[in-house]
Amino acid sequence: MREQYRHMMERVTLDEDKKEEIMNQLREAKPARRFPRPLRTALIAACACLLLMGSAFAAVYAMGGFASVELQETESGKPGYGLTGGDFRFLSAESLTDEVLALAETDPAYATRYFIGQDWSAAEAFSGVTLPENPVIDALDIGGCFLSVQSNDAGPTWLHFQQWTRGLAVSISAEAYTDLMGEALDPEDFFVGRYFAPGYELSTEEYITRSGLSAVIVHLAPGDGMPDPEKYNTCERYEADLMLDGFRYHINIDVDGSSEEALEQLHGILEGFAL
Amino acid sequence: MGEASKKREGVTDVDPQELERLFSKYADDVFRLAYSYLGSRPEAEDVCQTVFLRLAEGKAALPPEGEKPYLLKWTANACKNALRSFWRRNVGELDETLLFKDPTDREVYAAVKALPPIYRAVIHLYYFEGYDQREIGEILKISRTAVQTRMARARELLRKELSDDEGTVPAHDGACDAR
Repeated sequence: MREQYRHMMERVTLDEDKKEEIMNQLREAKPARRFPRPLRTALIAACACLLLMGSAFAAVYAMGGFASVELQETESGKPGYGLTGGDFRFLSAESLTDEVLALAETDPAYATRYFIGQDWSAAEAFSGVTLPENPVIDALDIGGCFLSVQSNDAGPTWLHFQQWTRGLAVSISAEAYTDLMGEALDPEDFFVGRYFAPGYELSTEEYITRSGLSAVIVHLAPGDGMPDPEKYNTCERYEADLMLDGFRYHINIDVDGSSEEALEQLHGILEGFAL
Repeated sequence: MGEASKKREGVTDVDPQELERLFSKYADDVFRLAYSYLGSRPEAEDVCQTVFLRLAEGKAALPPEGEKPYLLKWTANACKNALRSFWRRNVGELDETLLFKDPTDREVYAAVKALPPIYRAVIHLYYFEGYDQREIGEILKISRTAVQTRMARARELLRKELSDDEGTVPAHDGACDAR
C-alpha cells in the first residue's frame, strides 16, 4: 500500500504556473505590523479589565513553569499576583468529544457553558481530555466539579476544569487552550491575574517537588483593613500555581485549622503530581 | 519544555532569498499534505499560498532545525480551518479521480479519498513522508494513541474499499509499529 500510495502522490505537485503566481505574491508580501512584545502583553492584561498600579509592590520571578510571577495591586487597592506565559500545549480541538463541540456550536460567540458533574473523571469523560494523574487529589472528598468551555467561530478554544472538596476548603482547577486559540495568541502573551480582598498581605515562594516540578506558592495572610468577613472570604489562604503537561493548574486551600497543616496538605497535593 | 516554548527559541525571520529557497524546497510537500487532507487542488493551492504568505508576512518564523515539520504543522492547521469554513461545508467537492491517468492511481486515490480527512492526513504523513507516530502526533497536535487509532481505522477502511484487490492492503503492514 505504501508504494502504491507513494506512486500516486508523486504525481501530485503544484503546477509550475501556480508556483510562479504564489512566488510573485511572496515577493510582494510585506511584513505584518506587530506590536512590540511588551505592548502586546500590556494590551492583553488590559483586556482582563484590570488596571494595575505599577508600584514598588511589584516583584517579578520566573517559577512554576511561568515566564514571570509578579505581585501586583489594582487601582482599587486589591492585592494579587499575575502570571505571564506558561509552557502550554494546545489541545487538539478535533480530539474533543462531540458533546464539547456541540457546546461550542450552540453559541459560536465567546460564550461560556458549564458541564456540572460529580467529579473530575466525569468531566474528563465528557470532554475527551485526560488530565495528569494525581492520586492525592483523587483521594480527596470531592463535592463537585464543573467544566467550562469558551469558543470562537471555529470551535472550542479554552477548557477549564474545576473541582472542590465538600466544605469548599480546597479547590483545584486546570485549564488549557485548544489549537484553535493557538494560532491567535502567543503562549508567552498569556496572562492571568488573581486578586483578593484589600488588606491581605501576600508573600510568594517557589516549591520544588521531589520529582522536580516547580510550583508558585502564594500565602495570603489577613492584615489591617480587611473587609467585612460576611461579604468576603477573609481567612488565611494558600494558593499554588503551576504548569504541568501543558495545563495551567491552580490550587486554593483555605486555612481551616493550623497554617502548617494547610501548607502540608498543599505540599502533599503538589507531590501527588508526577513529571 | 513544551513545544510552544521551543518555537520561541532561536526563531529566524525569513529574508526573500531564504523564502524562495523554502518555497522551492517544500511547496510540493505542503501542497501534497493539503491535497491529501482536503482532496481538492484549488483548496490545496490556497492552503499552500496561506502557509508561505504567513512566513513572508512575518506572522510566524521557522526554527533553524525542523523546517519541514513546522511547515507541515501549519499546513495541517490551515487544512483544519478550511474544513470548518462555511464554503467547505456548503459546497460539493469535485471528482478529482479523473486527474490520475494510471487506473491503479485512480483506484488508490478513490479509496483514500473516501477516508475522513483526519485519517487521510495520518496516512499521508506515514506512507509518503515517512514520519513515525510521535512525529505525526506532533505535526497534527494529537496524541500518539490517537495516531495509532486513526492509522488502524484508516487501514481497516482502506482494506474494505480495496477488497476487490486482495493483498493490496495487507492485514498488518507495520504501519502502527513503533519505529
